[in-house]
Amino acid sequence: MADTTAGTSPVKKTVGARRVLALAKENAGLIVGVALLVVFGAVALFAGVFAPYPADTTVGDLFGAPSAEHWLGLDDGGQDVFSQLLYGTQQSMLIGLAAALVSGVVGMVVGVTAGYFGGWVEGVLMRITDYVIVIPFIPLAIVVATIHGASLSATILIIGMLLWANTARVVRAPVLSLRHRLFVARARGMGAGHGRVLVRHILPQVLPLIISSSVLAIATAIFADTAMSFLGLGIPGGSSWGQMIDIAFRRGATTQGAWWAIVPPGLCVGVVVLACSLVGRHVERVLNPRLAVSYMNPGDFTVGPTPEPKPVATTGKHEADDAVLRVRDLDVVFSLPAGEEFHALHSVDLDIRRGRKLGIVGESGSGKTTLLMSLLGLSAPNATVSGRIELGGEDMLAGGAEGFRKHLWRDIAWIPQGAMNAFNPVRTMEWQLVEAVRRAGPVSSAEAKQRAGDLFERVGIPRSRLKRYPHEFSGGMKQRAAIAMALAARPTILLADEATTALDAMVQAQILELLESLAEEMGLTIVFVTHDLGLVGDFCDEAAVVYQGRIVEMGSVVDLYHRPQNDYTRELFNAAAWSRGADGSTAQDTDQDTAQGTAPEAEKAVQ
Amino acid sequence: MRWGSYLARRLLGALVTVWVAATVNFFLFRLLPGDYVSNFARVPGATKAFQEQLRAEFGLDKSLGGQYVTYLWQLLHGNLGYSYQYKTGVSGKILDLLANTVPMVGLSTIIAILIGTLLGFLAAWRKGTPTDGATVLVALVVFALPVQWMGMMLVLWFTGVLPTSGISDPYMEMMNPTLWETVADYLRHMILPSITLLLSTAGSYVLLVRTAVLDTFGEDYVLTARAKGLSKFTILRRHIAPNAMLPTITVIALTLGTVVGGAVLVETVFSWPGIGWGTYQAINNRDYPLLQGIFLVMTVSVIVLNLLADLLYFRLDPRIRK
Repeated sequence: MADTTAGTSPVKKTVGARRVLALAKENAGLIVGVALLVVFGAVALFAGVFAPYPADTTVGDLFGAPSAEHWLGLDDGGQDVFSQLLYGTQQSMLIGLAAALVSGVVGMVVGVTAGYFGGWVEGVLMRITDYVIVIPFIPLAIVVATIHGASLSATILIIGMLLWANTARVVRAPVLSLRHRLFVARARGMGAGHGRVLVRHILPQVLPLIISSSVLAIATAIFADTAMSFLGLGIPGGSSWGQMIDIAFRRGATTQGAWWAIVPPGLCVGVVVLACSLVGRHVERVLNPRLAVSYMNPGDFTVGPTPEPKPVATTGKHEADDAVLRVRDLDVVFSLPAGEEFHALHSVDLDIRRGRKLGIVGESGSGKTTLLMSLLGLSAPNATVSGRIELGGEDMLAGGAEGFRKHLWRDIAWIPQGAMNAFNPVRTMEWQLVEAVRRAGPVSSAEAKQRAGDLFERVGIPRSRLKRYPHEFSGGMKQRAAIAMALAARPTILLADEATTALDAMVQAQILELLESLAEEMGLTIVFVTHDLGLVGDFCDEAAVVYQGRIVEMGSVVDLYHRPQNDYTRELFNAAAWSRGADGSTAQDTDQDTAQGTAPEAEKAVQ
Repeated sequence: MRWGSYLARRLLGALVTVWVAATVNFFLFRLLPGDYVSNFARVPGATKAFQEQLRAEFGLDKSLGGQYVTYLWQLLHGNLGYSYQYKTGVSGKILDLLANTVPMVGLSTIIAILIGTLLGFLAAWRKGTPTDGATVLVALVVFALPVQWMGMMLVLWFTGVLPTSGISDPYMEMMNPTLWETVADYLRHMILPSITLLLSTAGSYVLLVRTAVLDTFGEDYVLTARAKGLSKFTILRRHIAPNAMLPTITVIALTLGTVVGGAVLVETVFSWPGIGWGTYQAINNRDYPLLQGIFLVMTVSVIVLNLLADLLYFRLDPRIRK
């Protein structure tokens, strides 16, 4: 659409062996886990084929040490430990899989029913589930084993009936939220019965969860069998790993020093349980993307090579003499999984002038937030940042993340989006403001609190609200508090990130008014990152338009509105005029017909 | 919600759960073949008179409903019946056993929570580095190994170095030990069972804390704290730790309840005469009244720990108290 965008996709892909290797590394846990389970499954299936000696047969000395004929020695009955181990694999894997199946099916039925039907059905089922979870396992096993008689099926049933509660709990919550989703309502509206909706629409969505919790159930079941066996509640005459450990203990393998009768079954349990955990953890990581978001990483971003300062003539722009923050040749490249790279910012030059209000506009994904984060030195650890970011002539980027830190809040402060969870939820507002006040230097507690109160009053919040917690504030209030906190260490530059986006129009106007009066009173420089062009028109003196990682146009707001030089800028303004309608706040002179003609595409871009 | 009404509601909820547990306990053990008294008849020394006394005490001549009411009534008075094996009251026996279990389990649990918290924070802090990888792997491995097996391995390694059985040296008393010698002997006996229990629980605590911390890392207020220019350690201490501990407390309280159950295997391996070892003996001797009592105590301990976790959570998370 615009001239600057011609060219390749910003994502650089890798191909061939390197890609396979990178993928394998990222999924190592899953691969190792599945491979181990497959190996143990195969051993279980073909135990009779592999075992050098028949089951439960004396073939040598009691507790005979490992030798060429008996790789893992002999147990208390003179049986070959290696052969017993293979038969044990068969029984343990059978118990694990069968119990996991029982628990998976019961857990699925209970969890899905509770989540889907809700109401009293859910109440009753979840009460039962809660209770099953706290039942001590061992006494229940005793009672069932005593009444029922210990057997393979009893063992499987006991374990399965204890494990389903976890699956039911895990499954219920997503089903509950799915029930209210549009596609389910639509399917119901089109006359699909409950059964059909459950099987066609709900089950496929929660199946990965059920599978992952069932894989973990295999591990727990094998574990539970070792515990039951050890208490003499296992399968009579059984050969599971748990029974091997139990027999070794009862027959004094520890006192005989016959480590070969003890070590192998325990290790087998360990390996299978480990394999199950690896698979389960991998699935959990895939299903829980929250874990992927991290504002705290061990590493900071990498500083790329500093480019030679470009001669003024070649930049094609005049150097602003009054720039407080000067950005030159800023490049940000993210390294992605599987060896790919994403070039997020391309040689960005930006002069942020003293006492001005600069708007940075662009659609989502254009790179405006990446730009803001790099100005704060908070780029992600997978980012390589190169170029110069000068504050009063000092290149902060040269010092890496630490180069920025001493200036943060004292010189440059950030106003987060108030609607975000930007305040620590378990601390009072006062605590958080005092922390910010102290960034300016050590002050007494009373003084810091006094200043926090002054700040609150300045932004229009009663001092008495200081003792309150963030969740007790409305969105607009939180935004005011965020501004108060940003001012706490007397910065000269404020960076606001979509600071008014989630607020309603009235509150939005109040916040902007507040910022305007603060800027005037304290001589602040404000950088306002937003996708809302109307806001830029109303509030800012200058604006920079970011598109696909480049600043495609920058200038005074008046110039940009009336004489946009760049195709993309023009389209962006047209789209905004179209979407804001005739409220008169922006671009009044835009030709409405043209605007409507280009709107759908550009609107998509804004989203 | 106010503290008072919250406390009242939680207490009431816990009491209801205890009642449900007691009821299930009653009916579960009624499913076993034979009644208290006919089982008792097999025990040598159980006189006719004693059997009659039991019958009256537990209303065994009454209907099932009557028996249930009597059971609850006796329970309220702390009467859990009589142990076949020990021929004493179950309540007293359980208290004796608990007195041995609590110090050992308590010590190892406190250390396990400390280790789990420290290593969990460390691993999350160093996420993606070899430190993290190694910590997670070790945690997963100790978590994957059967606890009784780890105990047996320790017995294999430490026989002759540390006591591997019992709670005290039987020959100690003959040598007129000082108080300090007695305590030292007790502690020496405690080392191996504690370490075994520690190994079996610390791994899951490490993983738990690590996940909770990583979850917190993605919160917006952490970004705010970074933008404030706070050092990473300060952010960890002031912003991440108080939030990450919230989910951790609940889960740790839940697992604490099961630690008592887990002690069955450890105490058996090391013949530590606590409630777990008592369970093992009771199973082998089919001492149902004692088992029933232990079952109830274990369930109630889970419920009480849950209640404590809820109350602690209320204190720590302002979002609950409005």
